[in-house]
Amino acid sequence: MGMKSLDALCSVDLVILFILIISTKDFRIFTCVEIGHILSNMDDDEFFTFYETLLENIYTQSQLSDESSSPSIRSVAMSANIANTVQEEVKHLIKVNPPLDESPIKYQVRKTSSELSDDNSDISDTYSGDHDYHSIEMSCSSICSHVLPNDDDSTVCAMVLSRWDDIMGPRTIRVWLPESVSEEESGPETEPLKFTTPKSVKAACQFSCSHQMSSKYNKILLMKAIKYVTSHTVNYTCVTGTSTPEQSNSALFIVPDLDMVAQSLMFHVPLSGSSPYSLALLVKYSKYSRFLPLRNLCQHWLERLSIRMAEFLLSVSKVHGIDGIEIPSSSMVDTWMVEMSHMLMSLEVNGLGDHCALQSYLSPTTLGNPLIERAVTSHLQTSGCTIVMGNNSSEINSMISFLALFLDKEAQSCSRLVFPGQKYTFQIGLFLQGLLLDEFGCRDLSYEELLDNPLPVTWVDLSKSNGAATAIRQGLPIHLHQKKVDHPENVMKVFKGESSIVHGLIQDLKRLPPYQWSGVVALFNQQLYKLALALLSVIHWNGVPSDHLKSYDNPTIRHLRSTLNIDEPTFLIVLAKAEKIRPGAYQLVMEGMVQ
Amino acid sequence: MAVTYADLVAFGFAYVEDNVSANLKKQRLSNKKIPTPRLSSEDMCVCEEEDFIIFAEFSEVKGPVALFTVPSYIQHDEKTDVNSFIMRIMSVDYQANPGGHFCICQDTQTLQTHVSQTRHAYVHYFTLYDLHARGFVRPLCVAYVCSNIQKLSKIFPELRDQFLQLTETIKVNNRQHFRNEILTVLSSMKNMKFSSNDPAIKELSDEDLADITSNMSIHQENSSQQYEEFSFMLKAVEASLENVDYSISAVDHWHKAFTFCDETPGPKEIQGYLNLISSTSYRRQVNLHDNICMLEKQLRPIPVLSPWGIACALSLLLKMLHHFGHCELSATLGCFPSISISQSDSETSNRDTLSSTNAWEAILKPEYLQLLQAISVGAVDASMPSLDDQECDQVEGSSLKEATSGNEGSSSYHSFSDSPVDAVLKPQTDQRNYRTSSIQGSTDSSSDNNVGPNQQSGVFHDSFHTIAGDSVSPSQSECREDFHSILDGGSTPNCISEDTLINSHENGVQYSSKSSSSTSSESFHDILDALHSDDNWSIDSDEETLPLGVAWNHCLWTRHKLTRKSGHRLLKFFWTFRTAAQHVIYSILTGRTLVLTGDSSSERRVQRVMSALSPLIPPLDDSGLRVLRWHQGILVSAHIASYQLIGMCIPERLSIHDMISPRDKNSVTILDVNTESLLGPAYHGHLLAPIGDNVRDFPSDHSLLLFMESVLNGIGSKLQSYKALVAACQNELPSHACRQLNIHGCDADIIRYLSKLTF
Repeated sequence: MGMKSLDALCSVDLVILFILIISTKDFRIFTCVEIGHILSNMDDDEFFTFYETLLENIYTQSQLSDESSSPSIRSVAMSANIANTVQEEVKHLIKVNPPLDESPIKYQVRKTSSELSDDNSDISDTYSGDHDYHSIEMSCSSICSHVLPNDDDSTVCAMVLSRWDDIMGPRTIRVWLPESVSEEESGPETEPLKFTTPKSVKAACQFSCSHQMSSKYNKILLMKAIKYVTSHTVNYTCVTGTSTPEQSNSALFIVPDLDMVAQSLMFHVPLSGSSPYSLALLVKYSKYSRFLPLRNLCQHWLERLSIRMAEFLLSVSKVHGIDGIEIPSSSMVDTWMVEMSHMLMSLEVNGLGDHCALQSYLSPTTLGNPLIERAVTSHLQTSGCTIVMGNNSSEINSMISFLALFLDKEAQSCSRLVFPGQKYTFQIGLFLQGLLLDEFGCRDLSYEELLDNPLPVTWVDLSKSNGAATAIRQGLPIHLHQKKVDHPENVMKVFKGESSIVHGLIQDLKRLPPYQWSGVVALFNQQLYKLALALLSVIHWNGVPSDHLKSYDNPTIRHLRSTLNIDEPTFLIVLAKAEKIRPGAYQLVMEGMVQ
Repeated sequence: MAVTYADLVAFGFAYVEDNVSANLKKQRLSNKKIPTPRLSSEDMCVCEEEDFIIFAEFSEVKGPVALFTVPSYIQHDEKTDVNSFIMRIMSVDYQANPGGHFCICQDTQTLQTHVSQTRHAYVHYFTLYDLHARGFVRPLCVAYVCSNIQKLSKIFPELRDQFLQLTETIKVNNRQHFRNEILTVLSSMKNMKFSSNDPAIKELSDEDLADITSNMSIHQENSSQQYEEFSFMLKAVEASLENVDYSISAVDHWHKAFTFCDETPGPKEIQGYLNLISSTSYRRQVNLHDNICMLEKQLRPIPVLSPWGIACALSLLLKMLHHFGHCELSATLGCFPSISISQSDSETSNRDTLSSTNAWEAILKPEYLQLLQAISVGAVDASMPSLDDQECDQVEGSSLKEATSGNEGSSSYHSFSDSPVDAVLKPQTDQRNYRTSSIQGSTDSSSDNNVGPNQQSGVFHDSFHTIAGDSVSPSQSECREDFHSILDGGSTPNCISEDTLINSHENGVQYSSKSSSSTSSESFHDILDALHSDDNWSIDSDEETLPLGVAWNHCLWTRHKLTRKSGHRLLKFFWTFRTAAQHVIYSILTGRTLVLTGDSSSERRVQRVMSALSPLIPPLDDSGLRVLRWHQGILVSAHIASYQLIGMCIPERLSIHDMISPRDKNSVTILDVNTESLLGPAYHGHLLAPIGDNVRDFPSDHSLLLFMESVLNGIGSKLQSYKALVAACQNELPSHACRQLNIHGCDADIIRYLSKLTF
């Protein structure tokens, strides 16, 4: 309270000092701290008079120096929350509490940079006038990995890993960005220093961008988006909330103001006292409609990633301790992210496209293939999850586009064709995908991946001679697949069933030109859907007896089949549909109720 | 409760309310560490927790606060903690505030899972502008809350489009309001500039202006800055009001409707709302609360900022909840399914009707007025730091809930329990009471009671006048009804349940088609007898008009009876007319007129068979089915030509042959509901083959209807092939197409007839 004696003269001195500082900039941090110290000891009244004079001074100065610039000073009332956000963003830099004393700096900055940007300058120029962010720039390289493919077709524009810190709040731990940024950035200063001070990614990464205004603006938006995602995925509600580690929260954000669509997943590292983490995928807002049907696919990939990431973080914590804010950059983790990015890109490049494009691949020769009925039956029994492999890309594509008629819009968006000359690998979570066999008749496919797929897979091998018994193979039934039975050698069984209603459908389609197929198949799908609903209704009304023998001659199945008057392969199709409508139905019918 | 109990017992279950776990399934296919929670047929459907919408504000005075919920009773429901819910969705500022300039923010949308234990939410954040608020903004959100994440994820894109439209209207109206306020402030500032030392100006300015500027703390010194600032804001707001003609016209529409209601004595809820948004009431409120706590800042209620936008939004929210609120495990049944591929058209038209609102219709709906009242109360509550209205509000809310939540089964039961006979019989099992109420039908007109356009009411009235004389008074009928039920009750549902119970104890399986075949058909006859005996009572009441071919939508994961829905008793139809059923359906699908005959006391029975069969009859055009509900007299060819379904009275000592000419007799199919004899063509083919003896194994009308739809869809798929083939080779005869598709005989008749209809 010694500061009580501070008189008006002193305040004026301070103001002059302050303005001096702004113009020289070199000692800003230091002086701001000092002023902050002084200010924090002031009375409220004193502070306000101080602030107002300061504001007045700066305003007149800016008017003198730049007549043409539009007036940009606003009232205290209006700037309150703006100032707050600014303070929030740079508080690590200027370690002072009074929220308002940063506004003058900002306004000053605005004036100097107003010629650079016009409309949205406020976003960029918060930082653009400053040159003393070296420390942050250093940290940028330690937080960001520029590894994702940078292509026009690339859907992902960033992956973000964040963590809730009990003291610091939401922290961005690591960001994966497209490659090119790192190229532009690879200046001489990236190497030398690695600060371990707390850092703001937002501020940091903004300096990694080029100096062109538009791309700079984009970068700033991206950084804002990253900050947004961090603060909204791991915040206090996820700590205080009702969610248990079992039900990991997922969220989808659509923020047009930040040009961002983000999907995030919260997860926990299996370690006592560990705080929640979140992994998020950022996509440009312009890709919203493209991204929409891919949400479930991305969700699945995020879940897989989060499981691996949790294991990774666990192993890291054994070395560095769990409190480490940083995680070391790991090429292994980087490849995971690249893998996901590649998967989304391959959908963009090789996707089925719209309805017309799909039609153009259909060919009557597909129906001439003797294994078509088995293929469709198995395709429907595995809920539309099918790999089509062969030597001839057009043959594969016409088969894929035919099988795609049985899928809904979302599943069609998560399917891809093949084009000659490219190399394809099996990608988890896709519905229909083609694989080109190489000259030795080999393909890139591991049983582990097949088991990791959310659904069991049908595999259609077109390279096998006509109607070969082993051409169609099918994964384990859905309920066993979900339990992950450890018999990799038995994963794919030769499939021989043939549904009678599928047979009837194929016979009819053979008489029709390909452009008429989709209508007939749509009604066929409706028939299956209604059958599935009827099945569910019967299950609910009759109930399912508890523990019947796990033999294949299951009385429930026998009864249900005779009630619906369908043969066994058709029944499994209907059951797969029912599982999709009401998860758990497959297991309920197959194994009965557990008491 | 009575409903569930009776049905459970009928199908061999002990009553296990507590076992039914509300803990619902969250699909986690991928994460193998956590297996999918097991489904059980006893589980309740996810839709047991109904969807609702919250409209909330992040008040700078009170923090997150709910303004209203749709339906309105949710807010006062103890089970759903709305406050903690909005705490979770509004505690973080989701709007991306770019900072710096005053700017018009775009809406942010999020889809959040597990907001509370079982609830997930689509949350739409938006901002309204208010000169009195901090930073001139009032952050708001409107959230669609749902327990079924699968469904929410599926409807999300559509939901987002709808909510964008909704907030657009609110925002446009708000900006109009905001612009006008800025204009007022600007003009007042101009005045102050020119006569800075003259306090008289302030007094001269009109009251409205004083109201707006009172809180503004405009200082003489920095008025020039503020002036610039306001003009900048004005520019931004005006720019945002371009190209929003659609929303502006919607706002005007609602403005007109409400002001009209103001002039003519409208509903009191509308008066209340208009009162709320008028500036005088606001000032009065402020004065009132000034005395209580001087320090707290007082903000205007949200409706004041966008009166017509909010009014419109309320109506849209109701529509949306109605559209999206139904269970995912349901299908539209009760009418002939669409078996051609034109769903996309109907979906788009559906969307159009959803987005447009009609104020004149809306303000007549009680649920809309309830909401309006809720917002009038809630808005004041939110902005004012006082809790006066809380108590009476809660009482009101709970009573509202009572009124809205009753479904037809329980409501008829409730009304029934008032009768003296019932009071005496209370110790008897409730189940019998239920039986009676289901036979009697609901006594009040429930919301499900759609009186469709396809009821040939004119004809029906003709006939009922002749019988009306016989009817007894309602109170008498109730007693008689109860009496019947006691007589029959012993043999009706209990014999099935006991039988199946024994079976289920023996081998743990209820699937014994043999066991129920005799007993339940008997019991069905018992029921029919019961119906038969009360055929001649209360035919004059409106409820007796059973719906024919009227669509309905129900969750299939409940054991509700489909009382008073078209398709009800279809299972009984298959039991009673087991030999005739397939042939009757064949006649229906080939367009032959079906005549249901019976003696003069069989009218109810005929009506029921009609209602049961109506979902299988393809309508000839949009006007629905052509039905002659009850005809007394000779049947002539004109009748046959104009009706698809005819109920016909055969007087005593006469036979059907006396009532119809031999030539006409050959063109119709005649089914006698009492003797169960059928006169008509027999079916032999593949298309209807799935409808065999297996049909009797279905446990309910609902599952059977779903199965019938699947059969019809199968026919539809064949039909589509046929149409495509005929179109592809125009020169060839239709019979050739049939041969190619392997359709012969009776099947060809069905396909040819259906191909002539346009669905």
